Amino acid sequence: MKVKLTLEGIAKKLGDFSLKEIFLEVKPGEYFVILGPSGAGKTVLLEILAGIYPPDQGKIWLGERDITHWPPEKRRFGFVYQDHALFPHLTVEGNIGFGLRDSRLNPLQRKQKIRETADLLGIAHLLSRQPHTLSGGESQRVALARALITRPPVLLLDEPLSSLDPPNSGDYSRSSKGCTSSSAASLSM
Amino acid sequence: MSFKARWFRLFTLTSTFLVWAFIAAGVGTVLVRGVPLLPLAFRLPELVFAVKLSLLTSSLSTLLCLLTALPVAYALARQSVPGQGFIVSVLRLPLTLPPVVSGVCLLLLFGTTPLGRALADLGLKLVFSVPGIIVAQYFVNLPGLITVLQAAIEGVDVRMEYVARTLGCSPFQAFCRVTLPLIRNQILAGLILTWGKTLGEFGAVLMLAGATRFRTEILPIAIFLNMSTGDMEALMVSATILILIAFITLGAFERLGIKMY
Ligand SMILES: Nc1ncnc2c1ncn2[C@@H]1O[C@H](COP(=O)(O)OP(=O)(O)OP(=O)(O)O)[C@@H](O)[C@H]1O
Ligand SMILES: [Mg+2]
Repeated sequence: MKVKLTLEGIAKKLGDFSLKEIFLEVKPGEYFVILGPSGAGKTVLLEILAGIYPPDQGKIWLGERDITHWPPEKRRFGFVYQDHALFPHLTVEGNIGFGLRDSRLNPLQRKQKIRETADLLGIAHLLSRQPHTLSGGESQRVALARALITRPPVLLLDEPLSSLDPPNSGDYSRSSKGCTSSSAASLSM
Repeated sequence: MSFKARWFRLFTLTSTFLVWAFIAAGVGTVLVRGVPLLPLAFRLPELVFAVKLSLLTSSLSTLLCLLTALPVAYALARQSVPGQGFIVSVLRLPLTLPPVVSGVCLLLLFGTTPLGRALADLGLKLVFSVPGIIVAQYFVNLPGLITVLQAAIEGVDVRMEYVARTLGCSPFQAFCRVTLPLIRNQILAGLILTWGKTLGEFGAVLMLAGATRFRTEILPIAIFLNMSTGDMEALMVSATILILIAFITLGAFERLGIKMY
């Protein structure tokens, strides 16, 4: 799916905070980086893109389709939160495979796919671990694997470099590039 | 340790011991006389009836509490309910209402209004009946379970549900696959607590379901009836059973309480 993602005058009020009139366009295969001070609304904007909050105003387009009112489960954009939000009751393998539950894969194929994705991100040795035993960088890669495994059309990364040291972060953008060559756009901040 | 510190330590420890002794003496007095009589519980038909009816009604009312408390707790924890403050105050009311007053409310609702008559016409007679016991236990104990479950759901980061949704889950699936397993222990603890409290519910049951031997005679009602007829043995056994259940409940609750996520 090679389409662009367009935001047309997105506005949102959340309590005292308000996000005003955001216009932007991300072309297929492009990385788009949003910078801003703490509390500027980067996370909220990504959540609006993912479909978690409806915007008060404006439209979101995926190619020619108006997806403003699509729920997150219909958009299926990959999302990696800045604190990774891994599911504490599942192992690393359970976390990565979470999005494959309703796919047509049989258990063996599913295991295979989890392993491939984990290999790509260098976390295959962690598959049987519990999330609370992971380091910051490891848990971030698990969250990335969990988002990538369903081949999302758009990948939303909140603070993607926050828990990685410099040599690692080179790897990281390489692997996310490899994985999303078929994706429309990667938004990352 | 300075003199003042020692004095303070002595004071708090003495207070603790005195309070402990007070409770232990009260409960112990019944246990000492009741435990040797326990085999009677299996021989006196009235007690067998009371134990069975108690277990049946408490289990059903606890199940009903769980089924309704879960969606309510979710709405209160995750959604902005219109008029939240007012709604919550009314929902919590049975928590602070004397149970006997709850019973009066239920008696008037089901005994004197068209709603009660309509239900009776449908074959669900709640006044002076076994279903009335269940409704009374349910009404009094529901708010407690809602509060426990609401706190549990609020303790689960909502962003984990959001992530689940970006991975294809509907809101209900996200709740079942992420939040529910994470609050499993709190649900279990809430169930045990609710079950223990429904077993002991007296005031509301007395008002709505009445105290009829071999009909609405749950354990607390059996204590009341045997007290009024001076049958001390049956009374002691009923009280002992309820005390033992309270011990088991407390033990299970504390064991679960430690192993939270
Ligand atoms: N559900 C909410 N209700 C009310 N206010 C909110 C809500 N979510 C976020 N906010 C507020 O919106 C503002 C923007 O939050 P956001 O998390 O998007 O910031 P950010 O740019 O990601 O900051 P950081 O770099 O620290 O992560 C903050 O002031 C936050 O307190
Ligand atoms: Mg943020």
